Amino acid sequence: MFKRLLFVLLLVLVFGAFTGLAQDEVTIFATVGAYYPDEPTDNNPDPPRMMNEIVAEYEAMNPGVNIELIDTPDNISGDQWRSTVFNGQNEPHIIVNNYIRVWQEQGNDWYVPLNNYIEMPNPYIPEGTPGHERWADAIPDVVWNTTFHTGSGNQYVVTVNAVAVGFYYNIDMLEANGIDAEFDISYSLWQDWATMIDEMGAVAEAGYEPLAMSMSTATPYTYNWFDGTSLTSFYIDHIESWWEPGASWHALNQREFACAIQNGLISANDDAFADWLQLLADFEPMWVDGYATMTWDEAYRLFITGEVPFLLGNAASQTLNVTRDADFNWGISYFPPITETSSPHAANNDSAYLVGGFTAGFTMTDRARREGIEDQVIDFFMYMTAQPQWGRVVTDSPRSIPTQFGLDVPDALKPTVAFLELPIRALKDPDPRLSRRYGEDHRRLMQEYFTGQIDLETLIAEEDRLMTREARVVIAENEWTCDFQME
Amino acid sequence: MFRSATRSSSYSLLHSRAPLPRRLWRAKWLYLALLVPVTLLLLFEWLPAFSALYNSLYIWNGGKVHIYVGLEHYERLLSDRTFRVALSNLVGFVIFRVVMQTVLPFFAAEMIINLRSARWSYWWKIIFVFPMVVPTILNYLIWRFIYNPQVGLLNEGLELLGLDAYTHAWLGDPLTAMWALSFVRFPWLPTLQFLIILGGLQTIPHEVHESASIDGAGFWRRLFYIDIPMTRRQITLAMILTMLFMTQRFDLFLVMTDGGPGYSTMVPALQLFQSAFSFLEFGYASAIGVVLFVGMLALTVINLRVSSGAAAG
Repeated sequence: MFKRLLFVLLLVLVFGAFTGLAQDEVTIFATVGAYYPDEPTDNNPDPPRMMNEIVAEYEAMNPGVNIELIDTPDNISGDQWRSTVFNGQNEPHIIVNNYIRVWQEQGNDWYVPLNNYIEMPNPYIPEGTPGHERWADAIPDVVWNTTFHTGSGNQYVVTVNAVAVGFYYNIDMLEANGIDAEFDISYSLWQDWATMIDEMGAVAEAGYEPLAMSMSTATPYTYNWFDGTSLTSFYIDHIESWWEPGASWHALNQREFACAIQNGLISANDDAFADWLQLLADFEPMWVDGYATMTWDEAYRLFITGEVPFLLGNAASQTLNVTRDADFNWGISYFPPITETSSPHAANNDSAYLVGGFTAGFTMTDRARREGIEDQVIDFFMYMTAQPQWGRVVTDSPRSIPTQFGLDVPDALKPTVAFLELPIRALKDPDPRLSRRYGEDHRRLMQEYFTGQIDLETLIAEEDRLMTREARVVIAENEWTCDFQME
Repeated sequence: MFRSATRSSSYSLLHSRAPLPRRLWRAKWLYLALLVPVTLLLLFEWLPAFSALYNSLYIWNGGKVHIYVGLEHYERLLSDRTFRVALSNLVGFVIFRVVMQTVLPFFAAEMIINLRSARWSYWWKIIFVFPMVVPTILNYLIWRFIYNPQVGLLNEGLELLGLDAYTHAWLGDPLTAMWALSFVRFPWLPTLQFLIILGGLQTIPHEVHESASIDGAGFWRRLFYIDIPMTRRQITLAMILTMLFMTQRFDLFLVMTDGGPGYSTMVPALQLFQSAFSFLEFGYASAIGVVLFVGMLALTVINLRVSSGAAAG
């Protein structure tokens, strides 16, 4: 009797174990950035929803696979969020990422190189559509070349979206003050930087604060756009000689910029650098009071309530909001070129530079490898980004311009497509140029200069110390050599 | 009845003349009950504190990079301009807040003690304690709105009074930013400090105040010769707590200004946070934490010594 009972018990245990194995479920966590299917609120009455459908379809096709979409907190920076989740080994398997950030962070082994995966067929892309035979073919080479990390020889990001930033302007307000608000794609709203300063000065004389923007070090991106694009104009003639050998046109990576400093190819003591600092200082009086601690939302509110005529923002994702909220005629322009009229050290290039570009993509994180579910994660990755799915996501909520072949640009974003024709700025935001420490200290130094706490001489001395130190540190940390740069 | 029986039983256990092992055995449940909180304290308070000391000797990015560098981070702190500025900002901020958060709660408590109506006294206590339930972050966001240069209450109020010339970007100007942060939570009546001081004042026997009145002592004489000396321990505790809270405070600076403009509102706790979570320099952040800990400990000891010396004198 006892033996029989024992046998039955063993049978139950073995059956239970097999059933358990059969029902072993996989949960894939993913962030989808601006496409997170939020609940509607007063401020956001029409949030994107399509990702819910995509997830439901995929789960229905793959029993046992659960997809959890994660919303990223908006009260801390993306950098802080990533360092927290990665160090806690609690990162999602797929995260939205900017390739420049990935370049900076790839030394931490946070991201899985996608080189082999993008060579595989993507079964979710219909036959005859680029990418079906080879996933990489879904996206133009120019995008892959931009995001390729020469330092490691790896491709970490599948960049599905392009974005551009620009100046939103209130046409009614400008015309009421006798200012011509005609935008021409060939020369932006202004022919050059000096004209922009003059026209914003006229707005200021009419009693308005001209430009709503944010230089809060917590959300510094708006200021960073001026910083990188204007610095590019001063050094564009030299950039190609700073690239690593064999590289095609790209924004300078950390190593190239750090080596340029170490090799004396760029210095805060250059006349051009001093001119650049002065150019920004001359622009600063046009910014709204309190810009140093203002959040972007606060800046947006000033524009939308008609208190200021200009707003610097993301010309893709914010266009939806401006369309919804503005009760005046408005337009979007981009940065004017910086010519000799503005500075004798400017490159006298008639073109402005694109801020943004192919900056919005997805990465697979090391968690997929740790948990041994890379294949499952990449499968969902392929499904989500394949044209039939991604096209629906972007159409449902046009927040950026899709890069994949075969997808149309949503109507709302068509005016900004022309921005993508501009040459990309070679010098990015301060943080990806060199390091986050540099970016943070550089912004604080600029704030000290703008608010009169330090003079130009001190600023240059401090910048020189900061650039030299950070270049030395990042070169040492990464064990880079700099002998590839020859002027 | 029950309470006094329990007290007498614990007392007899701990103070009987039996040998130590027997006494320990007798009180085993007491010690076992203590074991849980002590273990949790060790795990979640002491271990992280000591690991900060250990990590401060390493370059650590929170991940795989863990390189021993000895006292290098402490040397770097000595020449770190940000840390110097942050420390000097902190000193001013802490002094201001310690004074305000001790003096004003003291007067609030005095006011309640002197009320003749028990009902009014009760309601005033409720009013002073109520802010405790308002989430701190909400408070900061309200103050951010108050200071908003374009639509904030402060500037709007000044304009209403015809004082347009005094409107200002309060948080955006390095000359006013730290003052603006110091005024956050005006009128500085923190509940805990208020209750501590109120508790102290309530322990002063009525007879002492009555005798003083008979001797003709007015409010100020009573304040300086009876109330302050007799609540010295509570005042010291309130000051120490304020000092500790304010030194460790970084949320205020993070939410309101992120340490800007420039470094004008940077404090060591915020620098610690940024070093760790923005720059992944956990070793350096640990060194800042250790220095802060040592500083706070030293100030607490000095404060206690001074106050106990004064009390003895």
